[in-house]
Amino acid sequence: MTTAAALRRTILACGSAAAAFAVTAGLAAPAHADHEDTPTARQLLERCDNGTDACVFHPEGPLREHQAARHVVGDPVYNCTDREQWMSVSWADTTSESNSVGLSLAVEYGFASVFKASFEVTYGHEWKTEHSESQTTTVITAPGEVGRVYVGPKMQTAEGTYELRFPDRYYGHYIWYVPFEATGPTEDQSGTITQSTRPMTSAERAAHC
Amino acid sequence: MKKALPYAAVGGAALLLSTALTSGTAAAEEEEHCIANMDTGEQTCFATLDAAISAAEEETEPSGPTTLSAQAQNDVIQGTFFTERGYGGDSLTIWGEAPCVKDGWVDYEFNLTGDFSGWANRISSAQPWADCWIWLYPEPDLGGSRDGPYKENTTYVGDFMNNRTVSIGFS
Repeated sequence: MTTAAALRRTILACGSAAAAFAVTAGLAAPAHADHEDTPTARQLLERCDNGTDACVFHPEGPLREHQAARHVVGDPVYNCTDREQWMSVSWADTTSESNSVGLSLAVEYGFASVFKASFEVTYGHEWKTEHSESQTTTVITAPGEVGRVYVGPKMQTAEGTYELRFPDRYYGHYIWYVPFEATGPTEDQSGTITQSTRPMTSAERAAHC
Repeated sequence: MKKALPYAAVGGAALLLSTALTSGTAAAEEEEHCIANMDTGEQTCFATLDAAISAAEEETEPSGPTTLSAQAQNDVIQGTFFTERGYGGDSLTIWGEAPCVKDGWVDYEFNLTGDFSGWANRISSAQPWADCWIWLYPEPDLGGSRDGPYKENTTYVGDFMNNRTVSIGFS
């Protein structure tokens, strides 16, 4: 292959690298490619800094921010009067992180602390495992309308790969790589609360008025 | 200077190629994510995750639902380099036969010349793997005034070597 040849020539030109490859080739231990048992990502991450020589999270690409699908919070309010009403909706909502492995990032040890430390260094702010908010929102409803409050949390997604190096073979290998993706709420949650009104259905009118 | 590594000390290694094969978002469609083998010099590039995974499956042993793949050879990822700060832009992941050994010697070097010249003078962020420290040089064959060692994931290599790297040392 042209590329390989070009690089090999480059390395050979440096002298000792060629010797390195030549010597080490003769010492190559057979890889345990026939090892059929394979740990799950969960098993591996549970060993992060818990029996490893090193556990490193390598972030991949810039942080991706997006807004989660909005969902209703609090109870709907029904304006059964013949005048416009300013109606209060009290609500509480919690947005939690999720990740591709299903292990909680809320703990302060192991793979979670490795991820959060790497995240902070890379993106300049702390990983937020959870965002809770509660408030009373005023909804202006016209006569015969139902009003609802919605929250669409701002989320951030980070992805990358864990590199776990073991002092002894673990499931036949010294090094394992685990892909990982986590999504959690951003620090700034402004503009995520919306409200909407619409005419009540006859069923709603019958039930609530 | 380089030295031989006790290959047998490394044993098996599992490789997941998706490290270099980032997801196929719309913004990433024009990006290029390549894997280069330190030993053979073979370079494979991917534009999308699907294409990358398909190619990776051909080279690795599928091993269960976690999408982990075990490489039949003893290769390990030694470093990933990005053309933008914060691990953005195009990426070049270099993998070789073994982790680095901390004894003051450069174990491996990689020149961004020849078929890899497209990567020269473009590196802005870097991630060392396999216990390697990374050294960046402005000239081929580890020439010129270097910067490093970059011992950890580095979102910005610094003004001195930003967009100036032509060769890389792994120690």
